[in-house]
Amino acid sequence: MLCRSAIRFHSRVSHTSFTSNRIVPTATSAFRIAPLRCFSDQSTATSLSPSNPSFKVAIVGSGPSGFYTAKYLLKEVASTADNPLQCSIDILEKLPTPYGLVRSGVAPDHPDVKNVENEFAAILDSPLTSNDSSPNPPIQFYGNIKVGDPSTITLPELLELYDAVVLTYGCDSDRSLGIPGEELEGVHSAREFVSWYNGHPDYVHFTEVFGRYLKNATAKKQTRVVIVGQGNVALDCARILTKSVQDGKDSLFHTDITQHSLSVLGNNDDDDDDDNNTSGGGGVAVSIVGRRGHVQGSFTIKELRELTKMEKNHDCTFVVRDDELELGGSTPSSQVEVTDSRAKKRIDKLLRSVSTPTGAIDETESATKNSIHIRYLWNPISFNAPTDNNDNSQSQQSVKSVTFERTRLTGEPHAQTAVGTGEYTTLPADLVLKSIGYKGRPLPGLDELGVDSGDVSVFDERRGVIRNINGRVGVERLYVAGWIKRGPSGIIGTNITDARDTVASMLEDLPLLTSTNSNKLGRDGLLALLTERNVKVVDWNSWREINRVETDPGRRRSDSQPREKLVSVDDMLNILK
Amino acid sequence: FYNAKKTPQYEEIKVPVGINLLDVAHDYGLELEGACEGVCACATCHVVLPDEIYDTREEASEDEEDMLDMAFGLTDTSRLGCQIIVTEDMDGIVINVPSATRNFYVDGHVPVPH
Repeated sequence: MLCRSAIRFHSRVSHTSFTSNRIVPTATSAFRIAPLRCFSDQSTATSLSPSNPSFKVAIVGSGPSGFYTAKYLLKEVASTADNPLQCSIDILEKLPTPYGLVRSGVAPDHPDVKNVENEFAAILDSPLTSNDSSPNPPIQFYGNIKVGDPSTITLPELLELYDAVVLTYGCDSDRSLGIPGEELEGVHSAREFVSWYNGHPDYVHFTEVFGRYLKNATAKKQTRVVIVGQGNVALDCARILTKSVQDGKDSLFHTDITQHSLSVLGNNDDDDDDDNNTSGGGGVAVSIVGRRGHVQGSFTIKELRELTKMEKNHDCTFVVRDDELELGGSTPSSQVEVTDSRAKKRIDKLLRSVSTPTGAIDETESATKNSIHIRYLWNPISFNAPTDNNDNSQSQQSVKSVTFERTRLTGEPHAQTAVGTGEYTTLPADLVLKSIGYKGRPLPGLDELGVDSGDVSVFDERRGVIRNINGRVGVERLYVAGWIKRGPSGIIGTNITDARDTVASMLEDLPLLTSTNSNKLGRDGLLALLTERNVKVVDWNSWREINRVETDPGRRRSDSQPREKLVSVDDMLNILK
Repeated sequence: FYNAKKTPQYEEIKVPVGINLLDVAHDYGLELEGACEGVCACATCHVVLPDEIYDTREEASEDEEDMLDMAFGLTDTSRLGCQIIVTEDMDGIVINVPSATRNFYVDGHVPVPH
């Protein structure tokens, strides 16, 4: 018997109100939009030219922002007019593999977060777009294409081939602290560590380096890792450094963490001992250090809660200090920040429920046990090399410790800054991971395209983003979405509204983008050019082949492991021969 | 099997009890994202329930509450659609889907330094 309920779904934004909800750009930095942009044009109807019935778009980057842009562009164009334009959208990707940070950023022990890949795959696999059934599907994927590399294809060449180009290539570099010792061996960015354990082909060579710092030849000697920064990436690194690697409940063994990483991380359990005897190796002591307090930290509660469960599941202590929670949380501004936000309130409550009085912390914890300490209100001042090292060559010096200055918070709510107090401490460190933010870089060829309006470049070097207004760049027919548009913030879902914002701009510009004078070659032109240049293009069917190999039971280390990734581009291309 | 009535403001649909709101949206072609496919690992299926329905649902799990912290446009009667099962007492209710296509800073915004 089926009972029925009538439910009304009320969506607050309908297509007719799409443009009326736009933010009107206020005065910005000196940045002139190319004259072709018409903010006054509120029409979403397409002026369809019979001689150019298609809308050809190239999207550079196949992470969430690229896929969501493709998805919503197709959807919105299809629903705008009685005779909608035929979309031809090509998602271009530098690697042979798609999905961006969903594949190379999301932690291996968060497999559910990667479920979004299924939705992205469905966009390419669906009957409407399937490579098998349609000769010219609306959306296509082409991997192993380095846009910006003249031996592949340059950005100007891409703009010649397509009506519009959307840059969604994210952020693949790091903010720097700008303190002494940052160039020492042993000082790395968390992004490098993450890319390495997730098997990004450009980072697998770090195995030797990380192996050296994490390995302890001396029995019962700890590896000390200092992580600077208070975001979820810092917490991901802490978990990966301390979770068990042997076959067992919640172990890294059953995740898609790469084999080369597992072998390095496993050194601290025990090197050659087969019967799980951990007395031979040292533990990993992780300190996650932030210059502000716990209320200002960027990590989210789900990830914090995971740390509170590390003792039970992985025999790893988790410590936050009472006095440091109090120090940061007791300023009137911090109290307002807590009251203002449901998320902060819950984080404050969680941390206070598990905190330890500083006096009760055993500073001489067992060297064989893993531990994660979160430290608040310490600003990093310098990375230090050993001073008694006879070899004075700078390039061979490895980090030994990190000096921090105690800070206190000052300022208005949501705008507090951390100022030094003159009190210092030093933490020993065998490995340092800087986790203070990814940073974007300009695509080669980008600045040369900039509007000739003076000295404002298209790329904002300070923020590491491409200057834009609602996704429109000051270059004809060029748009941005995702982290390279708004900076490295948010979660996967944040890219939904980001992409829709950019797509709305494109829709408004549609009459200009598809004018009769344009006669772009699009996909055909792209493939012809790449063939001419001998570029080995990895299309969607080829990715499916790579995927089949990675998920083959014979290759995986256990049945519950989702995949064992291929970590070399050559290996991937060799499969496709 | 079902009557779908579209108006400029909302769509009224008849749905069977027992399925969750995310599945309802997907099955009936309504606009609701579900990035993690309904396992409480994202906040994209966020819906706003009418007061009387919110008050009478089973309490959200810790996992759901954690994810709701990150939902855009969170309200006092917000839940994740994938965790709400259709029941008979939901007949005739209106469910709101917060959406924002215009919530981005214009470039030039300077984040407060710290």
